[in-house]
Amino acid sequence: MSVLLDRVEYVPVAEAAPGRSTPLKHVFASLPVLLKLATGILLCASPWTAVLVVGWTFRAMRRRIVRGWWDHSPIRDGRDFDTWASSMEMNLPARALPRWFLSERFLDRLDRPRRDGRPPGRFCRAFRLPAALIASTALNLGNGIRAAACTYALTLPACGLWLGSWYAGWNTSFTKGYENAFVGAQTGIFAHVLFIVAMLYVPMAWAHLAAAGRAWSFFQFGLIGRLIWRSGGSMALYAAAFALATLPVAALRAAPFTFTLADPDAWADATPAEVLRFAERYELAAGIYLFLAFVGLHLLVGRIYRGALLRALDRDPRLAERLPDPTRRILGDLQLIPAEPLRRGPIVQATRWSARTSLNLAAGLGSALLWFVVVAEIYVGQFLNHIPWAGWLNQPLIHLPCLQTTPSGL
Amino acid sequence: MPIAPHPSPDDRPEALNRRAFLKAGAALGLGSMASGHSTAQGDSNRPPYRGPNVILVRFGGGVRRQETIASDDTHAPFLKKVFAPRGVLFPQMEIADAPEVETSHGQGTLYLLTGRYDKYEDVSGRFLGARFEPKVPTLFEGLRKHFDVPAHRALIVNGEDRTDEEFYTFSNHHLFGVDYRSTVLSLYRYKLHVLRTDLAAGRYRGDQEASKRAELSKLESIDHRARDAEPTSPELDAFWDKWAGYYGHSGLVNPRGDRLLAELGVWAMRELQPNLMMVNFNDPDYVHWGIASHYTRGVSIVDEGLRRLWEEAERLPAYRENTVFVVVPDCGRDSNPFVAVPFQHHFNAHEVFAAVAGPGIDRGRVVDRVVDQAEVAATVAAIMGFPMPLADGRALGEVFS
Repeated sequence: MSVLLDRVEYVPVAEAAPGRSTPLKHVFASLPVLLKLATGILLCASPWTAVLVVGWTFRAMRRRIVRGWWDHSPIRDGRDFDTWASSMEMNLPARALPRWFLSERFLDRLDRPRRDGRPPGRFCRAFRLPAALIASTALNLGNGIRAAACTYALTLPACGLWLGSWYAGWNTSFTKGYENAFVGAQTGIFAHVLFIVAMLYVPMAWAHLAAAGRAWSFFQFGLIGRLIWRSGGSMALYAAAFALATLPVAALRAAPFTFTLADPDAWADATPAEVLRFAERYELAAGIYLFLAFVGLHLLVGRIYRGALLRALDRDPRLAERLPDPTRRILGDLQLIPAEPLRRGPIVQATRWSARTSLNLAAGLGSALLWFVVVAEIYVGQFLNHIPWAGWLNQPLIHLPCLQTTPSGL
Repeated sequence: MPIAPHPSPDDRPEALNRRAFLKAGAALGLGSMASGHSTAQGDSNRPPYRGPNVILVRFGGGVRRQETIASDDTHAPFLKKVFAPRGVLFPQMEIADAPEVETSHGQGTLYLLTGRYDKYEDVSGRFLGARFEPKVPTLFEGLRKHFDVPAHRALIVNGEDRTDEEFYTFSNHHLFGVDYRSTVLSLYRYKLHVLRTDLAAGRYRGDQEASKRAELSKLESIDHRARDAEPTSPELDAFWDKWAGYYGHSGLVNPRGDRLLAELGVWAMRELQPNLMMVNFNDPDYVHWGIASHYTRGVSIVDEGLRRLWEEAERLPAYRENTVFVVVPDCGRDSNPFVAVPFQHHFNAHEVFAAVAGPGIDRGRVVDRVVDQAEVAATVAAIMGFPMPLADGRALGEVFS
């Protein structure tokens, strides 16, 4: 994940002053980061808590996107990012890794002056304490629900059709190409197409949603489609990274089918409680990969998005009018919305247009094929270890980062 | 009424003495093997078969004891509550747990037919292919080598989507082989019959004829080992003609899946009267796709097929009081507590069972010891009165009353 964090990003681990640092200090400095990562891994153990991971990831994305714009801004010279971010009241996390539970600026929140400018009294601070204790949890939850709901809005049709087509399609095993056998297979193919089309769009929409923090921004199809078109090659590479990252997920989901292969008798007399304990530990361990891959993939698309939006504004500054209010305000304040579009001669323009169109078409086709690889990985995983509902309806790197391999009957 | 076993063609005791029979049978078998290669058609001195018919039901596709014989919540009520109490149940039958023993359908079928745990590989090296060549004679070859049983009375009823199993009709043993092969009834064979008869009748012309001839060649190549043998017989042609007359040519009217196998089995009993018939049920295996209800539905369908065959045997004079049913799975299924569908696969599924019922077989007996799937072949041979000297397993003595 460190690759995805910008070199200038504020990372607490590197905060210790050079010269005075000792290994012990490094360890202590690393503790908050490790604690945050460990919390994320733990929260991946259940789909309910995984919603918090989604929200946390989107908050981290937002900070990364805005921070990336800040690095390109002409106003940054001599100014501190966090001071500027506070002045914008964007509710950005104070660190690269957001907090899970406490308010981002806990003490500031408690000590904030009253409306009349007087310092808060003891009673006032006590009154503020409960909200400050769970402020980040609330933000993570709110962002998580919003992001998951938006993602499901576009991907659930495909996932739901998979579920149905897998069941109905395999009825043909009993009936051997009966008159309506095509329904299951065709429904499955239709679901693949829906999924691929959705996933060509959804990652860029994630980043747009993270930047704006407005649910409706996820569905700005024209604007997001334009950004995707402008980032054809990057999005193809992103699809390749996603397909590669999905491979371990499919393996982790399928792996329980091998647990008893070597010695079927080893677990023959185990009580359900013993099996459950082992299965839960397995899911917990799998959370290490799920959490890092989920966050990493989202940060990666955030990086692609922030560059794509700036390039799109360079070509067409009027695009800013279509941006959600928070995004437009940030970019305006950072002076990243050009007054005039970039002018090029007609020959250069035509050459660039034809080259870009060809490359983007090829990249789009490549992306579609790579998203089909993701479909194939999901199907192979389901064949090896069928997870009846979640196997279709929750793809851990897309929806909720949770393995859900433990049988519900345990 | 007890069945007269057949320790030798000329001397058949009224009641089965298994030990004496096996000794005599083994001697006969080795004697006939020692006589060298001969053809079924050429062996005019073989006695006709008059003994009990045997219907070997492969409760296949891999099933567990839990859903069949071990639980009151069985999905095979006929097997557990009607069939098993009328015969001998071996609830602890196992497939040997050895490095080269695989718990799968083709292998399990050949373990049942040969009584040996040989290692099998697809003859063409195809990935996941199951065209296996038995190295030692199958039950059908043993029967036909020993008795004058025509090919259409030694039947295997196969599923339509497992054409690899068409390969199991005979071994490559030099003293047995294609001349003693069994006959397969399946939708694949039906398609062959329809194509052959339609082409012979000149139903197609021009490109269509060429296309149909290519299709026929493709279908025939599946069982290329038998290409030198007579592809069909008048009895078989008559059978398929009657089938076509009833169900037509579309393939959409006849029952499908394992219901088709039960139907073919019942038709075979009426029309061909096999002395030894193996019905290779397979529907429970569709749980490989992970839908648990497909498994329990498959078990129910096989159970219903067993009931149909049993009732037909009770109804038909040629089979009434003269037919032994041997029911045994090809393999078990996994019982993996870590997955949502514990029985989705059968990678390490050695636990099976067997139930034997019919005249001459003990009734209401449950054999509470571990027995071996490889013993089924010798048991069937013992019931029918021919030797299986190359089988490793010994006959299950508890079967006989």
